[in-house]
Amino acid sequence: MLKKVLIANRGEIACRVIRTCKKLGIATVAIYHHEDRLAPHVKLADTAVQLKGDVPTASYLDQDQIIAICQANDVDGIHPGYGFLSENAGFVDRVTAAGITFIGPDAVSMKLMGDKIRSRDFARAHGVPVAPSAMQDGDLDEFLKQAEQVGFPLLIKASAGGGGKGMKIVRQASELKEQITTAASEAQRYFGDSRVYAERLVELPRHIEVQVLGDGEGNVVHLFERECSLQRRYQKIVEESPAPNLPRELRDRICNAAVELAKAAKYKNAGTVEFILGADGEFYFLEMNTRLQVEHPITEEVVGVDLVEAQLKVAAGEGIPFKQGDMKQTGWSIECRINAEEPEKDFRPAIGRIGRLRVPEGEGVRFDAGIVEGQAVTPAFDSMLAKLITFGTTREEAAKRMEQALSDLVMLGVPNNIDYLARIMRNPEFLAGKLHTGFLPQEADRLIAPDASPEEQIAAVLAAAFLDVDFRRIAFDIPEPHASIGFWRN
Amino acid sequence: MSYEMLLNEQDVSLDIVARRPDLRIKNGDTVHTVAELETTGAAFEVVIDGKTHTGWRYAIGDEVFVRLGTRTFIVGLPQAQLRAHSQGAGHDALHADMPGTVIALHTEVGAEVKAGDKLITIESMKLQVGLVAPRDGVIEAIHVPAETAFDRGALLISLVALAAPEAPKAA
Repeated sequence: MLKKVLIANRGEIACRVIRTCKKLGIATVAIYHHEDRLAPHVKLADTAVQLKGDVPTASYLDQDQIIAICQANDVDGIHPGYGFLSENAGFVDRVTAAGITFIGPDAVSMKLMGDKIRSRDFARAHGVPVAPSAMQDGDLDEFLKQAEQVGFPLLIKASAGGGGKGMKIVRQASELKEQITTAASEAQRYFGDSRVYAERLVELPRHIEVQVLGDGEGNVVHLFERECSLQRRYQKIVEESPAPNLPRELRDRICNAAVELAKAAKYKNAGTVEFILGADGEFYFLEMNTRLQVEHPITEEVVGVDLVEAQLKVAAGEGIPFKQGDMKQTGWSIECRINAEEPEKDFRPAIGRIGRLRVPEGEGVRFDAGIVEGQAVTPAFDSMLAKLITFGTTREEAAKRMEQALSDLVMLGVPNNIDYLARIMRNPEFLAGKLHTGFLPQEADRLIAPDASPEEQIAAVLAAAFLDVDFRRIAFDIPEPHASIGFWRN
Repeated sequence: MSYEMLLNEQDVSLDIVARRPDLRIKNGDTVHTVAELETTGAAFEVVIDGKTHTGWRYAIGDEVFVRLGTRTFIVGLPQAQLRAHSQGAGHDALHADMPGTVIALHTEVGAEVKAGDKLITIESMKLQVGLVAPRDGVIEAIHVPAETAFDRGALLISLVALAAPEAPKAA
């Protein structure tokens, strides 16, 4: 087993990795930028080393510094967490060359599966379904013919594009030529490149992903699926496992496709294969994430494994610590991402201070966080502050516990999405498990905060007013003859 | 004179109408009898018309975050209320409410814009956000070029009212 692990990350995931290392008797080294000097991961680790550099995110990406810190501290393994350097194959090469174990895939499979185009081609070549598509290659008539063969509805996208610009939905052949011409001229205008491609449009798509773990020798197990369809701004905010309303036979086919892909790639360590699932039951490979996911705890809860422990064992060459036949999903788990953001204002990120923090407790409640009371929330890092995870024997119980835990969670001093998440937990469509990636926009009107009652309003206002010395003076201090007048301002 | 506050950005006005024997506070057309049981810091306990309300609160600057039951309110003390109104009047300027970078400009000086038109895309905390025109008007000046960084509170774009349509001139 590894003896000393450096966690090249911060926040909740650094704390999460340190926790498992402690359980296994592995020494830990944390790295931190000055702005994070009071953060929990700094205190939790056996050793903490401050990074040099002005820009906080750049410091956590500084490969030279991180490798030098490993060498100075006799570190034999690096856990990258997620984000930062976790999917940087160049970093994996450098770490390996320095004689340190990278706790994750090797650089070769990271390069292959981490590349959207290459991994898609690889998936298709190994019989994993990818969305049917046609690429424009010069001749317009030929492209039209190919696009028609893909089948309607079609999504026309700019080859050089992104962010939905110039995208067209075509539902019938008669509109195809005109829409492709328009899309091409828009693509020329936006991206200076008129090439477009046509892809089968998946209606009411669900985002289903499969957790896999490989040993690098072609042995792979899966730890079932996660439903990650609830997204805003293309980022997940609520995940659950198992996926609701997913027939077992279909689930098994999706999980097996993920395993076949990871086996073909001789994938090593933990990874996630993402699929788009259509309302018609067709599913397509989307991409593979070659790291531990933010939402890994829900898999841990229903499968009963410690994924970080499994990662450490695989990295140490001990092989996959469990057999596929022993893997079972028991109960239900939901994760909510607690973000510093304002749902009422198009989810724009917020800043402030975590002035009050009361963490929910109780059966089936887990709070994965890297925050402390008093900590500033600055624009330097991602807006995710913590993850709340609940477990129940049924989906209803997990959702009920989540709603209660969100009510019990007090985080004051920075605008956040806690109350919004609680409204999702009460939403009838959510409770019916009718999920797809357009769910949050579809339910937007029902997810708006209801007006507070007059009684709540006056109570909230007075609770605040009583903190103000001016208000207190007028309300309590001034002798009676003068009390009739009110407030003055500077 | 009233004690002017904000409750989730809406104006709220309180008047103390009596202090003895009970503290009586008027809000709108209603007069409430109020008592404060818990005065220490974060936890609060206020009694309004005989009913006890408990929760948590935290003041940051002139704003107070109040957790009451299952929801959080952001209450602006009078200074915050004043600030909101001085900024809001006329809506002539788009300020940055956090530091970030200009990703793209969608307008130009002299352009006529309608309320809700996207004027600028900025990036803060790894998220891109579009800022829209607060009202109809003409772009007077763009204070930050594309791909530049700005600080919290920076003036990004100023907007002037549309000139009243001129009467057609005689030929």
